[in-house]
Amino acid sequence: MVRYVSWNKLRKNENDEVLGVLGEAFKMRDSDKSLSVTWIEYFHGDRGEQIAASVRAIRASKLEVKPKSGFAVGQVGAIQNQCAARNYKIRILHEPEDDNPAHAAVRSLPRDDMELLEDLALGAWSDYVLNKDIPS
Amino acid sequence: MQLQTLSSRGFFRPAVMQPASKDSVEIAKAFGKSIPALYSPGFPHRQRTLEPPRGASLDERLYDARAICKVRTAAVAMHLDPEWRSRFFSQIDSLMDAENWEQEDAPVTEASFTTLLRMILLVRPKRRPGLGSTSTGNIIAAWTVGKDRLTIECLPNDKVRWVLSLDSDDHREGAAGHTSLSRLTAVLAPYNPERWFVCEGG
Repeated sequence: MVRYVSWNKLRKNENDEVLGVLGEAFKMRDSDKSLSVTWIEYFHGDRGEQIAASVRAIRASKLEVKPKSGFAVGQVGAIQNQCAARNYKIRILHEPEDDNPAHAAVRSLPRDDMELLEDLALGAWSDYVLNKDIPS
Repeated sequence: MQLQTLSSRGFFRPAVMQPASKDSVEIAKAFGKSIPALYSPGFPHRQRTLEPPRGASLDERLYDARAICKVRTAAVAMHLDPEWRSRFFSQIDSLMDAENWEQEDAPVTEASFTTLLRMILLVRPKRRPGLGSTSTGNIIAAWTVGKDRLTIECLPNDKVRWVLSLDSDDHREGAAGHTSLSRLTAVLAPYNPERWFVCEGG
């Protein structure tokens, strides 16, 4: 799964070099009922090609992708396991949308468990690519 | 828009002095006499309410938020190394760069930034934190050394939420909490926070 991560939710060092993502990247807004992600395996190709296709799908959607943003990349099973380790049973459903057929929703993710969100940012969802590194 | 115009267009409300909270008094004690300005109950808790004009564009709101952060920082400039401060300003500009800001996210609030500033004066980190922010406008300070990570979300009124992760040879240790600035150094002490705050070789 790929999750769009805005510049203010990327983990940076004191020189603004990106080191990863903040747990905040996986925190739902109050108005959100689920966490929006894009399902990588919807696309064909090797993993790199699938990630690039996912990023392009997000760019083609209504979401305005900003130049310095990034994308957190994680595997469904690992994310579910990491949540289960903290007694959360999340559900991940393919919910295609008109502007993104690979759209999926992560449901029942706790809104405010800072330690879990940090765990995900450091573990199952710690891989990332920067928007600038994926050609259009 | 120039910085000097902020007050002239009613950006700042008149300063309202507030009585010092219990935490403020404890923090002032912790600072010691090296920062006499912070003994003043009105500083830096002097209340300036961020009130962008109605209908302000995102660019304007971000400009105002960046200006507030810099004005706040400038007020304690004498306690910060000039290069440290200059680079910190660059980080603020970068964090709230309009070209990369999400419309749905609130710019960093004055109340949250004030807590960050007071935390920096209290902890005196040689290494500046990486900066981030929440959707609701709380600023996030993040220190990362290898796989050891410390993340602090600054809430209004000298409150912080912190989470850390330490990586050792055979396991990872994590901890998280919600505390006041006056307790922060004590709460972090068991985790040797100098690993994050001191520069390599410094």
